[in-house]
Amino acid sequence: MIELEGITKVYRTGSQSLEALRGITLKIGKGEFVSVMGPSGSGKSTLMNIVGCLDTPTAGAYLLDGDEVGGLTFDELAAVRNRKIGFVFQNFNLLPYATAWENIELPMLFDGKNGKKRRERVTELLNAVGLFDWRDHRPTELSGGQQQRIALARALANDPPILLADEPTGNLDSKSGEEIMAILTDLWSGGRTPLRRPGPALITAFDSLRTGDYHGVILGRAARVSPNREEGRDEKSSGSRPFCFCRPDLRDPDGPHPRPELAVLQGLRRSLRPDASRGRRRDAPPGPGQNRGRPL
Amino acid sequence: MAMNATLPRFFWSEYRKRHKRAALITFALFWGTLSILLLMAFGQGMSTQFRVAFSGLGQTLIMVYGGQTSVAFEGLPKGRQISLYPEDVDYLRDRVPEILYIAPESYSYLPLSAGGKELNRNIHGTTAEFGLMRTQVPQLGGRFLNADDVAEGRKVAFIGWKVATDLFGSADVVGRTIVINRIPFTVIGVLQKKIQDSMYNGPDAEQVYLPFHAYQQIDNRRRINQIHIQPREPSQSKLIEDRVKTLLGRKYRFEPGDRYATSFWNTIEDAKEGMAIFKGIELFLGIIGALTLLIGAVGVTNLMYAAAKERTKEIGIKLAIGARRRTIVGQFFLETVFVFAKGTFWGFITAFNIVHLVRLAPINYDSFGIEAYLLRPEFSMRIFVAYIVVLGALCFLSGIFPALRASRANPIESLRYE
Repeated sequence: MIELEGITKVYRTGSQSLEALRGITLKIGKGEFVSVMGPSGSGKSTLMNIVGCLDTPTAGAYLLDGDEVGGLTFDELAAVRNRKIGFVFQNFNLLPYATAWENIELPMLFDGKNGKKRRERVTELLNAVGLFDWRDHRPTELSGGQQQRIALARALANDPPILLADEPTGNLDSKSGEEIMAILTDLWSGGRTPLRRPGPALITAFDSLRTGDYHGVILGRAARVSPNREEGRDEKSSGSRPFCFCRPDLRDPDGPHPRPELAVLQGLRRSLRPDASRGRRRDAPPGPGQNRGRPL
Repeated sequence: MAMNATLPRFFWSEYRKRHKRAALITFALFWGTLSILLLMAFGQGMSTQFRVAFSGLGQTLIMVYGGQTSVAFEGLPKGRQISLYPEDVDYLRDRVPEILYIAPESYSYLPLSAGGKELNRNIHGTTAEFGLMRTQVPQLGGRFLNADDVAEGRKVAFIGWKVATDLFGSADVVGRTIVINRIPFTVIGVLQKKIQDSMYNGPDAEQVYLPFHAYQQIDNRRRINQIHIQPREPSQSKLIEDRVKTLLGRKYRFEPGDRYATSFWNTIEDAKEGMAIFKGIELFLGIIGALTLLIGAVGVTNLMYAAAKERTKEIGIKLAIGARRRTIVGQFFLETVFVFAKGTFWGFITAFNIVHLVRLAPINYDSFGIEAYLLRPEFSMRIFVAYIVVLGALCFLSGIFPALRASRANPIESLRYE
């Protein structure tokens, strides 16, 4: 469903250029649950934005359902974001003037769904995230956790086959974070899903391994800042340090610079045990759990 | 399409939620429109009133007076008195085809009585053409002297409104009798109020005009004080002056180039100076207006731009959840048009009403001052349209530019905006 081939993203500011992504190649199939992990600045969000069609890569190809995304027009991309992708942001990105109801309704409005359908769907989603009674409140009148649940409901409004969550718990206290994670994993595993379509691909990004125990990881590469003239120098001299978060049993035992993206991602399906993980989650204390991962 | 039916409603609800912000812009537009329209209306009115006052004496008028020769001519000594006589009028009319109207005028300060009151006023004798040249517009129900009055020497009088009120306490005096030098005259018309910025022997409001032959019965001197001439074309005024000098010089035997034998009051030449002043005033007002418009436009466009720019993140969010370019730009376009229309509409209505209220204020014609120039503002649709076009274009650009720019970049650019 999602195919990235040699995706590179370079940010340029004046005389400096910042390479956020270098040659990312990966495939994500229908219904997969993938976590992109890496420390701050490793390019997780950049990758998420590119996958979410919010940003365009400097080089490389992105095939979504077999279509080259780079060849789509502005409005075609908008339609992709509208129907195929639900995006949950770290900072919620709700419209401040609009009520919870209106925020959830908006993607359907842009899709041209009629009023009856919209009412039914918004009601269903509000109930699913347990905020029906808060429907007339504006984001500023809601707690962070409530805002993120509204944002999640909005992401699900048009039944997207792909759900992207970029550090969805990053701005939340640990309890709210757990709630959001519980909803996300439920969604994916087809629990109390407000999604009509079963098993959306769920891609999350975290700066820790908090979900790493039961989800896959991919390589993050430290961003490096170098003057433009130094572009093209090789990796060693530019001082970038590749690193990888992953479960110990998934690490590539051979190289000091493993390229585990594909290997890990392909191995994911097998290693994922949503039922077991849910069971374990319930027992796990809602503690810090933030830095359980170790960079290699 | 369902979308077309619901999006505008959504835009409206979003606009309502932001109405406090919009109210500020609406007020700025209202205030800008009001002040510019008022400034231009008062400026235009002032300019018009200057013209009106200028034409209070007469339209394209040349006045000819006698004088004293300053050079000897054909054996005659210098220092001879040159006087004008009634027959000079026909003499000049027959010989100068460029003359449209020509009229003699004699006057003297004489006692005048009616209704038991007696006053001394300047009594003039003239012909019907005088009225055409000297802006002698009668009030309703009256008329100026006509050719028959003059030909038959009728005992009728056309009087200034101030004479009428001084004698009768009212201006509605057509048909009443006034007595001049013990000869009764019937009032046939009262001068309509006018502002007049140039005059001889006082404003026309205080004068009494009689048919020339009737006047001669109360003042039997043959000499006349002056001759009034209106050329067919204002551009012929200098030519007429030269011809009149030559013809009178031939008749009364003085050197045509003698500057003191006759004298002229050429209001057309004065008008050229006056026009230069009007043009100066208009240019000045135009510059002030343009600068005010500029300041207003900078203020309003800055506000609109800031308000639109402030919404960059909102645009990013909408793009991220699938808004199309025309949805984003369309919303900003509609909002800009709505706010602009609302602000300028109320500004227009208010300015329009102020102008028309001010115009109701009376002008004191007896001793007019600055209010005669300020109390007659003129609302100019042309200026309003020009204003709408200029400010509208600027507002339009500043209002939708951020939306246009945001909807050309990747949504993430707008989402990052704080």
